[in-house]
Amino acid sequence: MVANESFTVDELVQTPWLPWERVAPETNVVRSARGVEVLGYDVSSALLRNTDFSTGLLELFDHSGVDDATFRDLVESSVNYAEGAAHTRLRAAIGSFFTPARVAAMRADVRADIEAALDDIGDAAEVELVGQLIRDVPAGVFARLLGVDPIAHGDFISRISEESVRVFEMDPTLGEHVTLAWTELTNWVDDLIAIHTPGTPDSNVIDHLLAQQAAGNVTANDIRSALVTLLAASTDTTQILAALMFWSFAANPDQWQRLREHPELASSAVTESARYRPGDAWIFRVATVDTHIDNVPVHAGDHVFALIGAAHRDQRVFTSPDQFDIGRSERMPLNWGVGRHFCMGRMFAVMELEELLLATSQRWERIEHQDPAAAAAAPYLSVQQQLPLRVHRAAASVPA
Amino acid sequence: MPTLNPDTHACIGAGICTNTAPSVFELNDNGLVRLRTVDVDPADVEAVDAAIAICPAQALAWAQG
Repeated sequence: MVANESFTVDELVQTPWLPWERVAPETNVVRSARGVEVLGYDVSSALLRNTDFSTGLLELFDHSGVDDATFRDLVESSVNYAEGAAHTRLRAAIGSFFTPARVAAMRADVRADIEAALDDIGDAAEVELVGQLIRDVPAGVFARLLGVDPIAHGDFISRISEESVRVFEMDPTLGEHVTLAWTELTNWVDDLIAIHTPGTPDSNVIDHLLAQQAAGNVTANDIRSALVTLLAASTDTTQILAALMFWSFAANPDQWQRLREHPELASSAVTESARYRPGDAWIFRVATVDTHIDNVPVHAGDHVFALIGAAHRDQRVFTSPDQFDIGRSERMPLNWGVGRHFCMGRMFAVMELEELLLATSQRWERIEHQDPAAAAAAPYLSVQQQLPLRVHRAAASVPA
Repeated sequence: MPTLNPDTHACIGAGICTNTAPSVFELNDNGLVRLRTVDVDPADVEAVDAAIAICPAQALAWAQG
């Protein structure tokens, strides 16, 4: 293990794969001021699966200076924090809604929404892709999953997800902000449940959960916790991932051309985009017992960070890891986790990203950063708010 | 009777297979796939085909031969 302080948190947020510039390529674990940093792909994957480590959601609220007991109870009982039999029960009840068939049934509507947004963009040569295209896509999907009007509630769904996930920044100065966001989120969920008119169990996630309740698999509290958790996780990560995906293509025009010529690569392009520029530099865990990671002692309560940005550039696992290659078919990226807490919404996110790529690559023969130097110098996560591109419309559509 | 290859070391715990073919696939305590049966009932073959095709980790396969 290498001595600590090889990199700062700010450096990591700006360049998630930075550790490899500072440590030896065979390094798997580094100790830092904030805890244990795991760099290697295989060790990160094993960490995320390891039941000796919790997701640390309570610790996130503690570090953010949020001490509202209501939120603590909600998080503690959530599928994202529960373990063992409780987790299995919740995961089965909630996860059974997120099926391949449901994703497939929604794909045409998602594509139609994207095409409509592209129609609005029209022949414009300069586009702000987040505001004009990306932001409405995950919000629209989630609104449909909830059974609410995407136009009436899409903006709220996007905003509340962006604000709620700030708890992951573990910044005590954000305590009031995070508290307000989670208060607004839980109040909205309570209103949503109160006004909901029950439909068939297959209609939307609320009706699905009500059917699970009728079957004795979840309680009313579980339903509330599940909806809050789903909404917090709903759109922010997908929105950022979509923007980073287009950022990567704008910087690699050969891969855009390759996608236009081979639209069947859309699926692997999404996977590669998630690997190449992940939205999260790390996934947080907390050790629940004294144990070890790659022979490095870890104590109960230690904060552990699976540095997925670094893991995705592990040259022991990925050939030419710094190259953006949409035909790559090596290991799965870790963005959505591994094991029991794997993201239940992954299939929807992947479908949205695929349709975004297919629709835009059909209309635009080339995309580029409006100001490449500014794009390279911008904060890594500035794409959450904006991605200014110059687009060149194709003379004729390429079937996709 | 068609047979699954029980080598599932690549599983990343997406759980899609358990939703697609629940009579064949389940998740163990670590959230990774466990085969309920290696020998697949012919009635489940189509669902298993779908699970194999959609597995994001390509961890599932029919046994060769």
